[in-house]
This record gives sequence, structure tokens and C-alpha cells, in this order.
Amino acid sequence: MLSLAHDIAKSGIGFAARDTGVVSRNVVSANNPDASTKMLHGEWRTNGGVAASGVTRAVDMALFERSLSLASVEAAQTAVLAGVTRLSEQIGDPADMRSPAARLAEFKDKLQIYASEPYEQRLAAGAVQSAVEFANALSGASATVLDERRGVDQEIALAVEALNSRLSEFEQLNRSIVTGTLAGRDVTDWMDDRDALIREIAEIVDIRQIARANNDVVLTTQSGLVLFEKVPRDVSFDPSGNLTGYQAGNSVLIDGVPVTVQEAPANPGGQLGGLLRVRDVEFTTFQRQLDELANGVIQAFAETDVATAGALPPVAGLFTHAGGPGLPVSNEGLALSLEVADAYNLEAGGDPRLLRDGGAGGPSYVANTSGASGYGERLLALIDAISEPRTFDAAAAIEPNGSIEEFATASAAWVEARRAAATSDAEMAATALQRTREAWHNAVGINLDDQLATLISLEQSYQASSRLLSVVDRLFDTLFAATD
Amino acid sequence: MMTITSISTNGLLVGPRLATQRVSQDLSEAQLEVASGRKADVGLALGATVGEAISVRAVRNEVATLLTSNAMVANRLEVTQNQLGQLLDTAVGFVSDLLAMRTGTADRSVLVESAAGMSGLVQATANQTYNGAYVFGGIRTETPAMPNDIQDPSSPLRVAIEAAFVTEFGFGSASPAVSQISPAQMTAFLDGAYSDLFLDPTWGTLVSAASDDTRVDRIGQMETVRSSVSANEALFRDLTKASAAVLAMNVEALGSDAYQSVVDFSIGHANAGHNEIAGTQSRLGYVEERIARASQGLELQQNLLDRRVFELEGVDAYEATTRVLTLQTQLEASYAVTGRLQGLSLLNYI
Repeated sequence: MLSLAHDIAKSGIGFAARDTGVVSRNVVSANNPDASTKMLHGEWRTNGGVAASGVTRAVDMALFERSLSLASVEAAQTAVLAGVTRLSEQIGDPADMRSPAARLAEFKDKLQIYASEPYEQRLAAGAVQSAVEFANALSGASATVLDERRGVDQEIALAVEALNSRLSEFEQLNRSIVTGTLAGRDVTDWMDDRDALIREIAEIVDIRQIARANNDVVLTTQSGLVLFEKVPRDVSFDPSGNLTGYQAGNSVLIDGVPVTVQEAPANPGGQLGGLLRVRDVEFTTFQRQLDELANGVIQAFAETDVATAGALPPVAGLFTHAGGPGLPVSNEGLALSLEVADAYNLEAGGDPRLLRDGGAGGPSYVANTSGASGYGERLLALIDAISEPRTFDAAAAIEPNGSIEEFATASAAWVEARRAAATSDAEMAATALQRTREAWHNAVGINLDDQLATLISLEQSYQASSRLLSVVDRLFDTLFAATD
Repeated sequence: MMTITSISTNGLLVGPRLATQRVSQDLSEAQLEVASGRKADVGLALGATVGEAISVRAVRNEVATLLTSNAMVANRLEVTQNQLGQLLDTAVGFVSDLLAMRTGTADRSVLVESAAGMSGLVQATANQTYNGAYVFGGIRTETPAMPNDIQDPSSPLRVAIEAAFVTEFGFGSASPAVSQISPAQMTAFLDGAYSDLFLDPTWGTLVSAASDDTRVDRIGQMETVRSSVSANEALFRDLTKASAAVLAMNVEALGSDAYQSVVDFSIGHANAGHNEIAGTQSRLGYVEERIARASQGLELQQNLLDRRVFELEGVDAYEATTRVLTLQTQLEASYAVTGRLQGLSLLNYI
């Protein structure tokens, strides 16, 4: 019996020593946000001793999966917000008056001042200068949107690159875990690392994980495209190069199947989904608005045949475009080439007084037939044309009936409404993600006090087992002395 | 081994840190709002309403522009009215001179002087400028409306009158034969060939360079007025007709009956001109009234728009200051809690 007691005491010392090792691992990892609490499991032997049967980790699958889907929503909303914020830089603070809408209003004021003294050439030059600023603001905004679309395209390429490198890391880690599990080794730290990697992947694209035997994991997108099964699937993307007009950029292919742009904000599909949405929906819609606006001002300021009404076709007047002097046929790309016609522009050798008289299209288009310097009718007609209702393309996502000034304002309102919505979506997603991460962390994370308490109890059980050994030892001594 | 608490050490320390970050971010925004009196990020705070903010500001600028241009139009009208007032006084004087010298043996050259003064003022009025533009030119603001002095016998009108005179009577106005012209003949000439010269198109070629089209001014967002008087209007024709008759008919050499016919003719037209001036003055007075009312409306609108801009973009200074104070307290509490938590560990007690 004494030797049995000796064995039990020894197994207790051994278990306490191994458990101390696990506890110290926990203590060291207490500040690692991805580490879960590790636990040593004991197995009672038939003889009453204890042996370590293996290390497990605290797991909360439901919270973890929820944090994955929230991470992809949050990444997508953040990407959309970043894109829309860049659009809102074109609008600026209303007090700065530098949005296309504000510049149009300023130009209208300059026209009004000129109309009150149509014989003042400097007022004509001032009005045309203001028109140049408006045209530059519009074409500048259009060029910026194209630049930004190219920039987003590069971000997509970088995200795809990051995804591929994460997937290949994932492959190695997953293989180590499966082989380690088969060999009966402690793989819990690797599993923590793999969970962190899964979360990083979820930020790039919306994924689900499917657990298999031997701690193997398969990754698919929410829509069911397989990203990883034993080996990573091919994720590819060709940069779209120079995007023009409303042309959609190249798709991201997962295993040969294109990732589609999600319309529903409920599941926007990770950073990639957000970027695709910004590139092909948000930016393109704003581009359409700029083009519609450009077309609106070209039409409003067009010159018509005065000599024989309708004999010659209307031509572009103050505002013209790359396809001028004829009126535009298609609106695509119009804002980019919008400019003030040289015939009106003093700096280009033109005469700003054409604003009062008309006639950039030729003598038949001169409205001020008498050449009187106080002629203000055309100027007043132009001011009215800015406020006149006209019809815009409904694809621009703004109320299509209204004047150009209303349309310009509505475009600014659209941008800021999108930004406000994206900001609140992103904040909500971030808060939800943070709460879920906290809950998950509290469920599986390491509590230092808890570990220290465990350490104390381990110390006591170690002391008790040691005491037991020395008692057994003394008992043996007594026994040996008696039998001597 | 079960966990004794349901919070991880990492979560315990990271939580307050994130909260502190958020509070300090809010604090910096609130401080900005107190300093500027405007929302820190107007676009974000207003969302779709930013469209209204931009258009309210645009309308406010437009209103200010209209107020400036209305003030200019009103000034121009004042100059016009003032000039017409002088013309009215002179026309009254001219009519009384005509009446006084209609009969009797008074020195007719005095009447010629009076007619010269009348025609001089008509020309000066027609050529009145305001801010570099000819006020009575209609829309033709770049040239004087009456470039020629009709006191000068070589001016186009006088040459044409002389030609018509020769055609009518067979001799020039300087001929001694003018004393033989009967009053009936004189009246027939003045009402016929002479008066025809003051009709279009000869009026335009002989006297006036003005345009019939008068200036149109936009005085409100949807309101325009015809704000100018053209030198082609009847008052200029009648006054010119009245004074030119005295100047061109060689009144000093006429028989007294024919002389009376000329004076009667002039009285008739000077009176007509006088009435037309009064009519024009009251028309312009009405326009001035409309502009004043439009400007009043615009000023009212400007105040409303200013208030709307503040409603949209401004912050309540009291509320913002209170917010800064609250956030400050909150931040201090947050720091204290973080400090306490850092010091809290079982290690201190074992």
C-alpha cells in the first residue's frame, strides 16, 4: 500500500508541474488579444493517481462566427465610407462655396451683375471668369472621380494579394494542425493563430468556416464560393487600367467565378465587396451626376439660329465640350471635357461680351442684332435658363426633373447623404463588432487573477503531494528500522 | 478548472482605453464647435440637408447681388427723374415765354434765345450719362442719344428743315420773301412737311441715335422692370419740334400773323411735351416704387436666409459649452478608472 501511495503522490507532483506550465503559458499570453485560455485535462487512473490527458482551449463558436461576419461588414462599410468621403471632398463645407452647385450660383450672380450694366466689359469678363471656374470645378471633379476609381482598383489588387498571402499562410497552419492532431500533439496555440488568420481573411472577404474531422477547416464565401479546402483556391484580379466613363472595372475571380457587387447593405461582402461597390456604383453614380450637370449647362447656354429661326442647328455657346461646337449626343464623359468656349474667353483671345450678344456659332447666331451696348435680354434669358426646369437621366439617382441649379444642389445633397449614411453604418458595424469581440474575448480570453489563483492552488497541491511523499518516505524508514 | 470571472484581463484594460479615445475625439469636436459656432463637420451633420444649406447660401448671395443691382437701378432712375424735373421746369418757362411774346412788338430774338435754351436742355437731357452709360439711349447706351446741336444751322435736322422749307415755299428761310408767307401756309407747312421730319425713320437719322428698346432690369428673382426712357419718346420729339420751329423759321422776319402761327404751333407742342414729361415721371415713379418694394422684400428674405443658415449649420453656444464641460468630466473619470484598473491585480495581495 505504501508504494501505491508513493505512486499517487508522484503522479500528483507531475500533474501539478505540467499544469503550472500551462498556467504560465496563459499568464504570458494574457495581453495577446487572440489568445484563448488553455486548460490541462487530467485523467484518473485506476490506481487513484492522475495523468495529464491533453490540453484544450476555451471556445465559443457562436460568438466567434458572429464576430467573423461583423468583421466583414465593418470592413466593407469602412471601405464605402472612405470612398464616399473622398467624393464629399468635392463638395466641401457649404461655407466655402466651392462645390459645383455653389460655383454655379456664383456664376449666376455674376451674370445678374453684368445684366444690370450690360455695357460694362469688365463685368462681362468677370462673369466669364466665374463660368471658367465653374467649368474647371466640374471637369476637375470628374477627373478626380476617374483617378479615385483607378486608386480603388489598385486597392482591390492589393486586397486580393493580401487575401492570397493569408490563404497560403492558412494552408501551412491548417496542415500543421491536422497532422499535429493526428499525432496527438498540443495544437491549441496554432488554432489560436489560425482563428486570428480567419478573422483577417473575413475582413477582406465575407467567409464562413466549416469544421471537419481532425481540426481541419474549409473556408467558403457567404455566397458559397470555396476559398480553401485542403489547398487555397485561386483568387485572381487583373487591374482594370484606365477606366473611362461609366465602364465597370474588372471582376475579382474566386476559383474562376466573379465576385458580384452586393446591392444589399446587410451583407456587403468584406473589404473587397466594399471596394467593388465604391468603384462601380458610388463613384460611377457621382460621375453620371457630373455629366448630367455638364450637359444641362451646355444646353442652357446653347446658341440658336436667330437670323432664320431653326435654319441652322443649335450649337454650344458659353459652355462647350470635346465634341463641340455641336450639342452633345451622349452624356458619358461630358463633365471631363467641359470648358468655356474660347470665343467667350478673354484669356483665349475671345470676347466675353458674346455673353450679351451671342454669335460664337457665327453671324446667324447673334442675338443682339442692333449691336446696342445696353442690350440685356439675352443675359436675362440665360439667368432664367439656369432656373428653368429640364429633364435629367434617372440613372444619376437624383430627382430627374428640375433646373440645373436644383440638380447641382441635389448632387451635393446626394453625396453628403451617402456619407452620413455610410458613417452611421460604419459606426454601427464597428460598435457591433467591438461588442461581439469583447463578449468573445471575455468568454475565451485569459484572466490573470484567475490564473494566479490557479497557481496558488497548484502550489498547495504540489506542497501536499510533496508532504505525502516525505510521509511515505518516513513510514518506509520506520518500517525498515523495525525489520532491521 | 472554471474561470472565476467572466472578463478577460485584456478586455478589462482595452475597454476603457477605447472609451477614452472616443471621448477625447468627441471633446475635440465639441471644442471646435464652441470656437467656430458652427457644426464641426457640416456635411456629415446635415447629410442630405446639405443641399438646402448650399442652396440657401446661394439664394442669400443672389439676394445680396440683387440688392446691389437694385440700388444701382434706383440711382439711375433718380438721375433720370432729376433730369426730367429740370426739363419740366424749362418747358414751363418756355411755354410762358411763348405766351408772353405771342402778340405785341416784343423783341422776337428773346424768344429765339428761350428756344435755344430749351433745345440745349433737351439735348443735354438726352445725352445724360450715369456711370459711363447714356441714360436716354434705350439699350444703346454707348453713344449720345442726340449727338447734334440743333441750334447749329448746319446740323442734319436744320439742313433737312431748310430743304423742306425751300420745297414748300420756293425760297430759303433767310430770304426776305418769308414776310409774305400767310399764317395758313405756315401752319400747313409746320403740320405737314415739318412735322413729318420728326417721325421715324427721319427722326432716327436726323436727331436721335437712341434705340426704341428700353433697358430691362431684373429686380427680383422673378421680377423685371422696364427702367429707362428712350430719347425717341414723344416728349423729346415734341419739345424738339417746339423749339426747332422757333429756331429754324427765321421768326424775326415773319409777318406777325405767320409769326403767331409758329408760336401757337410751339405752344401746342411744348405743352404736349410738358404733359408727357409729367406722364413719364409718374411712370418712372411707379418703377422706383416697385424697386423699393422689391428691395424691401429682398432685405426681409436676406434676414430669413441668414437665420436659416444658422439653423442649419450653427450650434447653440450654450449647449456646445455644456457638452465640452461634460466631456471633460467624463474624460477625467475615464482616466481615473483606467489608472485604478492598471493597479488592480491579485499579485499585489499574494
